[in-house]
Amino acid sequence: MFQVLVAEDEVWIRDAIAEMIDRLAPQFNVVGEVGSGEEAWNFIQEHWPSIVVTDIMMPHRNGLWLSEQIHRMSLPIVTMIVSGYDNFQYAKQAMRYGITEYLLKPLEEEELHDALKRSVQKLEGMAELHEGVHKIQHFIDRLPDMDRQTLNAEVQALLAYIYRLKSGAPGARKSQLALLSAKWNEMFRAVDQEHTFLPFTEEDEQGVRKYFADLADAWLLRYPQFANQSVKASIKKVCDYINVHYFENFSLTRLADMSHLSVSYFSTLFKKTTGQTCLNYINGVRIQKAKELLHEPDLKIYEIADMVGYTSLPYFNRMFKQIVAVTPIEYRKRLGL
Amino acid sequence: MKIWTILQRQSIKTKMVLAFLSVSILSVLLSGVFSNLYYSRAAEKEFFNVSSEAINRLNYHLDYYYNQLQQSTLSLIQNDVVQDWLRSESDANADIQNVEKELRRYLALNYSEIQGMFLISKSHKAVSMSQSFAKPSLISGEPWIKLPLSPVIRIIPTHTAGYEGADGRQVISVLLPIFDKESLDLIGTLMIDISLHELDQSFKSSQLGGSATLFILADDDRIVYHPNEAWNGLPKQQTGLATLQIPDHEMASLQRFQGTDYLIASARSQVTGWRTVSLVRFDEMAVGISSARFSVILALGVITLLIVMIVPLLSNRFVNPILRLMSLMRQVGKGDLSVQTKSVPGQDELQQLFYSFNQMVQRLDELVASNTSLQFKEMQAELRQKQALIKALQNQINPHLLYNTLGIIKSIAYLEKVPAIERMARNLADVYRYTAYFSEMEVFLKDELEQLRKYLEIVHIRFPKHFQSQFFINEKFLQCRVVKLILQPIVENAVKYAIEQRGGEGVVIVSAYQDKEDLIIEVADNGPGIDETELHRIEGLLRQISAKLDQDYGDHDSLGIPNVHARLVLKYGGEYGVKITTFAGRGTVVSLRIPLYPEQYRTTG
Repeated sequence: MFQVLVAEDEVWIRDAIAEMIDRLAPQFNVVGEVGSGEEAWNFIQEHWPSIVVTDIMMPHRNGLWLSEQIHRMSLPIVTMIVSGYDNFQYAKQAMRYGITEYLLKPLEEEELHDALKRSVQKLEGMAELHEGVHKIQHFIDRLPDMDRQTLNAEVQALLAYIYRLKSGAPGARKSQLALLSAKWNEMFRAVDQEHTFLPFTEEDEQGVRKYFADLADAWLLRYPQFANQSVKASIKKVCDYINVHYFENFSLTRLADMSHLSVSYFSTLFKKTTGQTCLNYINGVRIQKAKELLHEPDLKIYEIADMVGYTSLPYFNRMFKQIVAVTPIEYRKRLGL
Repeated sequence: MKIWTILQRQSIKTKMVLAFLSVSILSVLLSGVFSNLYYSRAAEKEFFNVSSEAINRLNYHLDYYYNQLQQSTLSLIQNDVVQDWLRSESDANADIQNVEKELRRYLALNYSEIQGMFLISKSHKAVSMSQSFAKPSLISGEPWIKLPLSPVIRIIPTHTAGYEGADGRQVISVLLPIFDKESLDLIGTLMIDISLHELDQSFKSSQLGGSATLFILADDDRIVYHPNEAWNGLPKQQTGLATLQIPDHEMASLQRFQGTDYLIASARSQVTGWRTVSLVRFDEMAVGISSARFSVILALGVITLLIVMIVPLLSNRFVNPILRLMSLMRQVGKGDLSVQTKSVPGQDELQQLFYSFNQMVQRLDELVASNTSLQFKEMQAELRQKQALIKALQNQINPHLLYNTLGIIKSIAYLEKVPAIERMARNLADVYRYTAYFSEMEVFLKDELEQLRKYLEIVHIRFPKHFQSQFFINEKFLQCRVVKLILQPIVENAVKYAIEQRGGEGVVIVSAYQDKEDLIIEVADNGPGIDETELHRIEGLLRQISAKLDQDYGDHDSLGIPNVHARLVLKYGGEYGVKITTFAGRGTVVSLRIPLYPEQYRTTG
């Protein structure tokens, strides 16, 4: 199963794209829908989808910026562009970012399906790297909880895993190591503002191991000083806010700002504190509220979707089905209403 | 005035012939008149010369005759016998007989024409050649017997002698004075009667042409001599010459007399004081004139004939080049500027004219060509401007907004599962995008038809039940290159006038076939047809565009039939473009003619 992120500022078009992709379930599954490049990037950093379907013209970082980010970090992600502009300049730039699927709006279901099917082989080739990325993410998420012994063991295991990667390209291994370095440094910096980013330049395995050993030492030395209760309280405060204001329009950036944390640290802390990602937490709250509202027979489904903060009915339906396993209509039927 | 206008309407050839003829005939006539006049003058002068010479000669002759007569009588007058008798006037028989003898002797020695001789004394006693002649009873009636003596010679004009022996002949009496040879007193008169015979002789020797008449008039207008003897001695008034005016001067004068023109001349004798008159019929005198006149008329006839024959030939020679030029001009007038004519260099005005004509046509051709190319360029510029305007208009509608909106509509339709809306939005977006990238580039007929299908699908959705559209296009034409966006405007037009008008109940058929080297694409509908005035207007517009003359074609329809036609003409040339055939109440066929490139035909065929 390949997880797909849809980045498109037009809600209806985004919903239609998501719907089209979901019709190819279970092979493809939409895990996220975002309306800007920045949100998309935040989502990727946390959820690591296999495929990103993005529009070009979007507020807060456009699709080309997003594509560039993915390409620059050599992330194991297949990017597809959906654009209303069959402008050759965009197509050329997209090609430079290694994008082979450039689809025109209005998007035909068939075209998108064909493009997704075409990318399967590429995705299968990336599967190992993708797993690696997930492992790195998992390691980063658990960093705050690890003691010296665990940390050293985990680092050794992760590096060993990366060095075992079969994907031949030496660039692939290097990109994984670079990603690990970048994410760890970022986390470090989120905790300790005085932390100076240690540039990752090592070439040989010996040097790499030493680099990460040094980074682990520095982390163990500095982190306990910042791991205090106030941080956890601020996460709790955000959760309380979401519980009350679930119908509002949230973005990760906005929530991180509320707790005076960086987005990545906030997500890590959020996940550590609540056991799920921030986005999933929001959806959980909203769907729970929706379930309650579905007991009110006078309320129409789309009214409920709107009341709990979903801008479009299809998105709501999909999310509801993902969490509750049935559609809102079926749910209501089961209630006997 | 009427004749003048009629003349003005004639061809230049006729005018020339008429002008030549009239000038030539006028000149011939004038020369005839002048020659006639001068011939008459000359004839008069000649007649005067001849007649005056004859008359003078005659006068001189007569005068001389009188003088001779006087001289010859001198011996007789001075004869003693005669002198004595005159002095004595004796009646003695012997004396008289002596005198008679002397007279007879004289007569015998001298003139035969002397009719009678008388010696007349102071007391009017008369003695003749014989006694019988001088009988007083017989001579008393003579005009001279009572006349007193006169010291000068006197002549009595013609009268009839009444005495014996004269036999009533007409005579002229000459009275000669006789003087005493001693005392020198006037003692008597010698009277000699001369018969007209002598004059007759003289006159007969002085003939002036066949019918010329010479006669003598005395002072008192009594006729002395006339060939008509009956008139002799009679006053002029009593004869047939009564109405004739005798001129005093010697110049000949022309007079109409008894219904005929006569030339008259006269001269006065010094001795007798008589006038000798010559009278000649003018026409007789002017035989030369009439022959001259005849020759003039003949010459005139010949000249006229020549003119009639030659002038048309001559005028043809001048007029033919003009006629040729005229027909060439007519060709030029019809717009054929390739006309050139042979022109031989030279000073001939016609050659110059032909040369100038060639120059003019050539220059005109150049001007028209440059003007046409200018207009063509202008039209192209206009078309480009028009395209720029269309583009500007297209850009006014924010394409992002349009496509995005259509994308949203389509997405909603997809999510709500309304495929009609989805298709419509999709087709509309495609049609707009195709139109938005409107350019002069050529596309495959396939693409053009694909686009048309999308457009027609929208129409089908609009009129779901009755509207039909069909394509009959052989696959081999699909790879033909055609100017972009030529079919949709035509079909849009058909939909607007044929389908919409009837609430969608109608058919649009698009078909293609090959006509020699061209591809014909037809868009047919079964609508009401285009009405005649509108059809005329559109066809006129198309013709103007084909002729590259209409500069405002773009003002009529932004992307209608004229625009498509203009683009086809601009791209492929004047023989290509749009043609409309309409059948009232049954439908319209709009056909597009474009060149079928053989190489493309091969690659797909």
